[in-house]
Amino acid sequence: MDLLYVPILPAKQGEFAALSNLQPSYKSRIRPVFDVPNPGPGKPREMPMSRTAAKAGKAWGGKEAFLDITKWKSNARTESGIHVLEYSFAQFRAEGVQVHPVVGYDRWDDPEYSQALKNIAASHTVTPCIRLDRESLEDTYDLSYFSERMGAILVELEVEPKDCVVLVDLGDVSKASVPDVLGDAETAIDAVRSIGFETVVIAGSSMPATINLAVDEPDAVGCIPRIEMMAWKAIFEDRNDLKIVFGDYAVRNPDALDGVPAPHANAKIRYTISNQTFVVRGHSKKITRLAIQNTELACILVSSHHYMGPTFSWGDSQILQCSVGAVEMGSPTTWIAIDSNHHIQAVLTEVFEFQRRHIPGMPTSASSV
Amino acid sequence: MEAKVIRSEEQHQEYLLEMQRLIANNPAVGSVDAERLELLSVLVEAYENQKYPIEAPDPIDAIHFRMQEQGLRQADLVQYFGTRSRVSEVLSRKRPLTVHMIRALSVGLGISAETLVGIEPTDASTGGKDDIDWADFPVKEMMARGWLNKLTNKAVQSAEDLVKGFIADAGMQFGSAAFRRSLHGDAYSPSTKHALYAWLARVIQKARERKSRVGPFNPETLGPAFLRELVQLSWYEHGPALAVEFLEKHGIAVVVEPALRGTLLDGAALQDSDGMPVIGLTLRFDRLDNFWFTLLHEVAHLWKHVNIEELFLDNLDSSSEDRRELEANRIAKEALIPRVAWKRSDAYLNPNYETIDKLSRELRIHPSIIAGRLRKERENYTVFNDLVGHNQVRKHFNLLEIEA
Repeated sequence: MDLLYVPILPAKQGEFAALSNLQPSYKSRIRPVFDVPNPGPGKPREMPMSRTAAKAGKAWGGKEAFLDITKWKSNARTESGIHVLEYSFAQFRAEGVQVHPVVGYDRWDDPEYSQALKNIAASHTVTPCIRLDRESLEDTYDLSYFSERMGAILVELEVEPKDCVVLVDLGDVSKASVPDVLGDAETAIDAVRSIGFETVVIAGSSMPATINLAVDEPDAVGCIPRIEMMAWKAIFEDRNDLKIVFGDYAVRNPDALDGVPAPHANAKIRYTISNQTFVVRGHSKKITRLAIQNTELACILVSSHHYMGPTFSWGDSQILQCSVGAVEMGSPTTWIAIDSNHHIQAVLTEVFEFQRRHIPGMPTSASSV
Repeated sequence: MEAKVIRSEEQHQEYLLEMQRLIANNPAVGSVDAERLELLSVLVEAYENQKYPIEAPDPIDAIHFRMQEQGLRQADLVQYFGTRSRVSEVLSRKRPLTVHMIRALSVGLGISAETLVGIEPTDASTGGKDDIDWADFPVKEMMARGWLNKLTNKAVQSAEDLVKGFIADAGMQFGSAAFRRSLHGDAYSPSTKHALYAWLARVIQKARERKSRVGPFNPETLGPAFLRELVQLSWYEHGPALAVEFLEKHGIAVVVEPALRGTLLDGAALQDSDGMPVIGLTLRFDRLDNFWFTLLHEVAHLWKHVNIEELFLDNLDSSSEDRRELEANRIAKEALIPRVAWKRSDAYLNPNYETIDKLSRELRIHPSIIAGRLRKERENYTVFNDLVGHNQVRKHFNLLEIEA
């Protein structure tokens, strides 16, 4: 069955809850990229990484995912001297998650990083995902240089391009427009296809770095366009190619820093709708507790015409529960779980429906095998 | 009667009547009448197409209609056009739709691509005539800068002659086949080419004035080690001046000449007719990060691309798709902060004043280079504004009064 969606997610509790609460039949249509969190300088590394892998095993055991370490230096090692990617990879596999390594195109020149990847590829059967970040997308305009570098990665990992996935990571596109993004994405697609790669994921995030950039006033609502989704649709409309897969950062901004305290965090619900995110914003938690605000925000959402009903997803049922005051939900992690769960379900539906409109004869439900 | 191309309405009516008569007789296929009917219909169709063209549905009206229908403001269309000013220009028909805009609107507003294709997309090439029109040179500005004074004692009759003399003095071959050299780089545009030519001629003249202090040039010296050595001069307080001294010692003339009005020019790389490599800098932005990136970019062009036929005029603000520009960018970036060192650094993962300072010491480069890289990568020009070295470049070249 074709892959429908690749969400790029921090390997954290909220995201794991969002995944484990997906309807079972939908789980096989997505392959998340898990980004291993960095506990920060001077902190133990192996223990938290093992805990993360154990949680991933509970949420996503038996299923496939990609594994990346973008929050780490490319040569980072654990306290025992093992490269963090190798260590984490072994832990995730031991917990039953069928992870495949992400290969950072831009990080490949680091010999310690590429050696870790070669070790993984030599001892496991893997489908690597070569990730082109914003900076490396520039290289796709110079095809001979780009092909040479990609060729070197394939040779050293001893894989064929058709056995790899390429992730075209447009990063934060919240300030971009669809036409700008299309040019980069299509050049990258054409470049990787000319080298023989088949599956290409186009990913980006329109979620701004701060809530003020999404909805500029406290206690207000607003819609932000999802540039990455419209760009993917424009590409799909043109090519009808099921191997050009949609990807995004779910409800987060890609450049958000890890573990930064936010004493003035605002209550908010990020609710994904067609081509947009509907944001219901509260105010600083210093003024009113998040749990109290969230009940009000959930009420506003449930009574809006955007709400898709409690049966749409686990996240939607939680929102309804919260709106009637049945459960108190104050933790930002809980809301990451709720918002991400709804988001994943909404994206799967949106992508599937769009494909079905353009390719006659497809099954009628995204969950059907 | 012999059928001819229709040139008048009477002739058009006459042919229509004849066609009616022929149709009424229902001529047999292949008969003389049938052939005559076919010929007349072709002529009539050609005339009508020319005189009464069928108008395509208007795409701008379609967008306005959809805006009214959905209660959208111009600000809501930025996502499909890129900027507010672009939205306003397209809607007021001052700027055509591009192919990418059409596709974005088709998905976002549900207007069919066929309707939107009604006007021609803009992805036009910069082609066009390359003829030199002497009257189009910015003579007043050239006069004001004192570029043309030297020639006033010659027997000149007009401003055009002055300009011709100035250009000829620089040894730029206009002669019979107009401008012989190929201009590359993103600073070029048909509307500014004369100002760019004038600037180039001035740079060449000034480079020749400096020739006595420029050392011998050996192309073999250009390479990664040379570039690294150059970048490490940024560590010093007088870095920009030391860089020029270093390049001139190795045979590369460096000229600082502010750009002429209307040109978005950062720098240029070229060879004079005797083979002397020349770098021209405008110092358009008086910032250290911009100075070092531009300088390295131009040295990379000299190393890899410049010859007597090819020269480069760069606007480093714009993103280029030219392979040589991308290569020069890559070489410059790698020389300034090597890729591996960058991905291993705290400044990349967790940028703050401390981590920038740490990497700057490790690489022995000016912190402005690191701050500039972070701002560019994150497309956020509000961060580390105090680190990029504002007003730290022109002062080394006695150019404090340039218009930005």
